[in-house]
Amino acid sequence: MARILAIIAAIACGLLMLVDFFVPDPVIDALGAILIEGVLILAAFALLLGVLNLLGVHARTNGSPASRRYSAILLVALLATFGIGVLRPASDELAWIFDYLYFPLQATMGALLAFFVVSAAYRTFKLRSVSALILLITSLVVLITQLPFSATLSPLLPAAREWIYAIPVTAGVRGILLGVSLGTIATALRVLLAVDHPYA
Amino acid sequence: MQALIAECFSLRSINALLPTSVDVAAIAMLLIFVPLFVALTLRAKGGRRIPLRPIAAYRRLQALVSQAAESGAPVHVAMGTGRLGTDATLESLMGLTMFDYVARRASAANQPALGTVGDATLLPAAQAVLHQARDDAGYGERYTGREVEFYGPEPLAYSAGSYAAVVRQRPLGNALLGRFGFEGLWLAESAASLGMARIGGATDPSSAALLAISVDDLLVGEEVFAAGAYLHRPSHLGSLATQDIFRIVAILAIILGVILTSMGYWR
Repeated sequence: MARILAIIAAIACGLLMLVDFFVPDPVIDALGAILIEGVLILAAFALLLGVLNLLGVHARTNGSPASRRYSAILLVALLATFGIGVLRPASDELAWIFDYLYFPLQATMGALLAFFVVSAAYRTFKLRSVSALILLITSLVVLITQLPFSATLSPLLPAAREWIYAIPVTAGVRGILLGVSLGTIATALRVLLAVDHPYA
Repeated sequence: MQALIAECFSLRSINALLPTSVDVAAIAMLLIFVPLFVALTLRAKGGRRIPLRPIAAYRRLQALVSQAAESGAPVHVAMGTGRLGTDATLESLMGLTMFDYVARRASAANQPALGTVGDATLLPAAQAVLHQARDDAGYGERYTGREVEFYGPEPLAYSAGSYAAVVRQRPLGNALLGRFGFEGLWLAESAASLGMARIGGATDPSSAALLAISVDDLLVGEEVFAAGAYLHRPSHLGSLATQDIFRIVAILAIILGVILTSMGYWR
């Protein structure tokens, strides 16, 4: 019974939002706004659930000693930030945590991306197939044409770059977006018509 | 004559007849899409065979899940940082669909499962999927709620947390399906450094490009939305067939548009 009610509620809400999209009516607009507000409130409660999950996973971790140490660090950091955020919101202490701990850690991890791109590109560019060869040649052309002096090497290089961006890249991206749009409609209809009900 | 044909093809002339702000093209598309979708879904549910082209990523996932059932190691499903209720909802739902497949196969073999989510709205949904899978397999008591892990919506926090989960649990392979930015590459490369198999998909072309250089098999564009149809939901075959028909129509319309524009019949 609960399952059927969930399906009926989901279909009703989905249809209301669809009508809200197509029909400019103040009453339907207001109902749609209430539903969207409800989603935001649910998301806030879900975050609380997420924090509890994080605590549950890392308080009972049974991995290696190193993994248990990392879990302990995570829990201490979580509780300390939460405590300072609740007791002294918008304080210098909270700003310090973000400025001198969070952002540097974020920058460090972001910097690692450069190495990841290089290692991934190295594996990809190994000539194992025709598509890898095309990818290699295209990437080299685009890479070389990014250099300031590329036009002096050959006047054809800037034109080649423009052609690559305007024709194959645009065509490929539009093809992907077209497929994504159709997939989005089909998936939304599956949920709306209860062919698929991941919520129940 | 040219002007008449151009006027017939102009949606602006049709829109002028209707109340303001009503999108005729979108309504017309829905009016064609929905009956076709319903008819093909009923056909698929009736057991009529709808042929599918092979997609390497789904084949690899099926093989990985079979190996996982024997080895006892889980297959990690990363569902990304998309939030339900936003424009990332449908991608995230596909991540959930993939997790549903992996969780059901793991539950049937009474083996562990591992899912990571980057947004809190995905967490209860993924936990419900796993709980249902454990219950349906007759191992409801095995559900702990801790096999789905949440690491916050910040991309780097999510990728670092998921990597820690991967190091701790040593899954057989990693499936990345959902909303990913550069954290997808971070996670896939981290898994590659541990020698693990990786499949992944994204609908955003720039995210797909990042994943393409790192994963073993990539899902791109509409392939992402085919997860259910290829893995364990025959009822999704109808919508997949509808997508294919519309894609063919769109290709023909593009060719027709190019011809009409070239001949001056299209404004």
